[in-house]
Amino acid sequence: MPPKVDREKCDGCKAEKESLCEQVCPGDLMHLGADQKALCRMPRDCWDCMSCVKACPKGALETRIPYQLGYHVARLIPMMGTNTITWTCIDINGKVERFQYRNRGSDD
Amino acid sequence: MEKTKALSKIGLFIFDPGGGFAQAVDLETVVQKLSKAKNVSRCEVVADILATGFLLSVKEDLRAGNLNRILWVGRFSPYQEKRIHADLSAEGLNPYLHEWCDVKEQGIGKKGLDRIVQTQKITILIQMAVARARLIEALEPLSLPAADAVLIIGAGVAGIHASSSLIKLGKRVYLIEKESGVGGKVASLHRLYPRICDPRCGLEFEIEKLRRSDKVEVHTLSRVKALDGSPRNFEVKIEKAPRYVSEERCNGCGKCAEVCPVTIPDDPRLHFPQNQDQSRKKAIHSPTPMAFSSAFVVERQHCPPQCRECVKACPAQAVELQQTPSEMTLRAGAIIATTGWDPYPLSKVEEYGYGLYPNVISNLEAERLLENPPELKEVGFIQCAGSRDERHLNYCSSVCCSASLKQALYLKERLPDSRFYIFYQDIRTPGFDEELYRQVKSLDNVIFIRGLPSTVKPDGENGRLKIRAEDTLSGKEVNIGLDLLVLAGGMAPSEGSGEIAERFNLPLNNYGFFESHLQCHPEESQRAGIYVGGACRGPMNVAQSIESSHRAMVEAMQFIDGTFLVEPTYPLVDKTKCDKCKRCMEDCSFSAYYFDAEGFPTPDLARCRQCGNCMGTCPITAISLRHFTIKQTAAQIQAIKVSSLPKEEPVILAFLCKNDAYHAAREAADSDVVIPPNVFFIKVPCAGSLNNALLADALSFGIDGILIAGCKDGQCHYVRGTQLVKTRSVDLSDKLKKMMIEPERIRFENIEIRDSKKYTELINSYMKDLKAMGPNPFRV
Amino acid sequence: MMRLDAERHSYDIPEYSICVQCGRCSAGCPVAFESEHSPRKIVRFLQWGWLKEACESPFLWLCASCQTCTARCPRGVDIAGIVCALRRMTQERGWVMPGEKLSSYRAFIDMIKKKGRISELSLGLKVALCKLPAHPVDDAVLAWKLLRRGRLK
Repeated sequence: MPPKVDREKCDGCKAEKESLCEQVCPGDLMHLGADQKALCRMPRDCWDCMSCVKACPKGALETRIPYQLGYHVARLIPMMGTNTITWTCIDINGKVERFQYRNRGSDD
Repeated sequence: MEKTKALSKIGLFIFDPGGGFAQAVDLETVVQKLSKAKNVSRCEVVADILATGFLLSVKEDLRAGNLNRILWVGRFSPYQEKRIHADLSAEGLNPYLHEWCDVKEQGIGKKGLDRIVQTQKITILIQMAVARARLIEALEPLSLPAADAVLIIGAGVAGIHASSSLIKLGKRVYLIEKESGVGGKVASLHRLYPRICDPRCGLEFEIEKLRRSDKVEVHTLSRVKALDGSPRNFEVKIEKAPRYVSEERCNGCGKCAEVCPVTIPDDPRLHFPQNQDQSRKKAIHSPTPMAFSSAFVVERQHCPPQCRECVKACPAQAVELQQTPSEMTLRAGAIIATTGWDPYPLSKVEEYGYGLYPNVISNLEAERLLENPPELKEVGFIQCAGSRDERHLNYCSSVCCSASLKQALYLKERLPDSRFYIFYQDIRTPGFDEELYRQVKSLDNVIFIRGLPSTVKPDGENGRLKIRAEDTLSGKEVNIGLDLLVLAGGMAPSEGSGEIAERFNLPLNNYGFFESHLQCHPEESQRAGIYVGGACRGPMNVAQSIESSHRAMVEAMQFIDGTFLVEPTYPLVDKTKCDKCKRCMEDCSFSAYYFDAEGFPTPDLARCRQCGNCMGTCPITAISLRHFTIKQTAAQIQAIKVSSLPKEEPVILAFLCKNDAYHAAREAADSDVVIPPNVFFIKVPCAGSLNNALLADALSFGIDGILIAGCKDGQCHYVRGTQLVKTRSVDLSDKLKKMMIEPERIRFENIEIRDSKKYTELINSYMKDLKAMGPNPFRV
Repeated sequence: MMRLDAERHSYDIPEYSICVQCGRCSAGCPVAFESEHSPRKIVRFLQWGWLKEACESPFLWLCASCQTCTARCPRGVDIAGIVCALRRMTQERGWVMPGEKLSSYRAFIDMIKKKGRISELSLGLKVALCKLPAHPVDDAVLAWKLLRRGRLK
């Protein structure tokens, strides 16, 4: 499911030629719409890799969890550290779980 | 990085003169624990840090390769620090391989704190410092080549004096002036206060020095067209208007002016009945106000078509009516704007009749009258004409009270039978100018009226004026008839200053003068390498203008020394990570970033102020300040082992801006106030240098609360640092909300440099809030 | 706007603290020197908090609302507005004023409240009646002069 864009937070990466979400999306699906805000141009082709969610500097993007996995209540939020990612999973019953992982390639 | 980490050999020395630390904490356990830490080769407590024996042993270890960096724990005097640096650099230890950890400022050794708690805290503090010490690298200052000339814009008193001082020091100068001659407004004055001397005397003295020097190039009739390049390497395009006379051949004999058929009409406002203006100019005339080179100048717009009288008359064949505008590019290491002021157009102060009645003149115009004053019986001066007025100039023009008093003094000598009236609201003659006031007050027939007139009216057909005012000191009405009225007009920003501000993108303050950091750096323009001096900075008298431009000149010198030293703590962009999103470029308050040949943003090291805001804003942490890298700070944060502290006590990690908030915290630590022990702070160059990834790290490793403290709004030393970090931390807080973590775990505050009281209250209240919130869910 | 909180009455009196007593207002005022007070002095009284002196000043009723003072003030003090506010305050608190002036003011205001406009003849008559037994003859002569010149409707 394509990411949800918070239109108030999104600043279109200051209307750059390519916004950060656009640069990072492996399927070339994210781009800036007419109002200079992020937009997924082919929602059905999105495969939820969440690269855009991780890349967005304003935290304006959030993944929509498919109905089968958790519907609106469920959320999956990554928080990027310097060499870690902390995942917060909220399931359909509202239970919160957190996982922390080291990033690969951080200790170069 | 891994290589550095593996090869780091840290010498850890805890400086404990008088055994204070040993009393407060269990130093033995601390030393034992830390000696076993990774990369720590040597760990001990030292009583006398400058003891010869100790330093010798350290030098031996350095030589033998047992140590290659040192962590100093404790409080050292600046003298001790310098000694240590100097001694050990002789042994080859780079100054950036010393790490200093002042545990006292973090609260160790404070009275009344539990020994065990303090021992835990000092252990963590030293571990944080060790984590950072593992990753620091040797750095050398950078030496950059610099152009060796200063460009000074505006050849008034400020510009001329700055030029002459620069050439005395053997530096090269380009002096640009838009008029045909030099001297600016001061050259058009008749006398200067307080000496009542001729301004051209002092000016000619300096100008002569410029003429005789081969280090200065003066370009008159020239304006700045465009600016390129950067500090130490500016490229300025100058456009020179045609003089129509050859500067090489003209010797100023004046034959051309004798035959010239056109007299330039005088300013109609200056037709004072009994005084025909002396300096009637022909279309070809000597440079004004003061000649630098003797070459005359032709004002072509007045010439009748086909007229060639001057060409024919010139014995040196110096008149060249076919000249065209020319352009040149000058290279300069630094630029000083001394573009001066313009008189505020008094016709805007309609009620005083300037421009309406011929015998209402401005104080500048009155200067010309001083030379040969006509017979006047009654003269009036109105002070603050257009100044201190919210409808015109909303500030005090500083010099007009002294200037009017000078004019009154000078005129009274020549018109002993006349009567003067000076209408004022305050007489502002600061410092030694008070003597002027005393002198004028002691004259007979000079009446000071504390009350400004409302309107100036004509008195019949004879050209006299009548003025009505309330003498507020007596409360009585006064009605005065005058032969001449002098309006003490104000100093407004000059048109030239506006042009330069636009061309160079320099901010102006509310009053239209160049914006500078008024208290500490009045010469700065907020663009590195460009300075401002003299009246273009604000209304000031001649002496102050000269001082002001000298301050600018001294600062400018650092950019022209052939080489220019840059501190090695500049930002580095990791090109393998950078994806050219340009946020660093946009958030830099000093426009220090440019695109390099491959299109990557790169800092111009001459403009960069090393504030770290670019590091804070980069969404992929691709930028790091050398000696304050993201990895070093992350290592410090991760060294705070929250698990070793009791869970009921919240742990606060504070990031304090080193300009303001850090000093407040240090003062709090050194005083008697009670600060909870579980507060660790990290000093940062600017609050804006904090990257969200570091905050995310801190939270995910169990820190209960993060405090970001920066300078007060509007006072950030790097202009926008506090604003930028506030916006970013709000974004992160919103994310925390989504993650079901209290957004109040990140808190942003403004703290001024001596506000230790606010800091203490803040920490205590934050602790209370965090206790109520409970521990961070990430805390194990 | 300054709220004078003396005696807990509040009238919106325009800001006067910023006045530096330069005297421009008095210099342009057509009636400033008819009485011992001037617009500048009134503002000075307010700065001191001497409400009574300000309100008892005859200047308050000589003011023609020509707005020259407000126009000339370099600091933006609305002196004409201050006088207006003080007039209202005086009248509403019934502070001691020579009776006839008060009732002229009252008559003016009441007529506007009732009819929305002024009929000059009836206003003049009303005021003259209030003034009785003083100067009815002079007023009548004046009224006749004005009527002749078409200045009375």
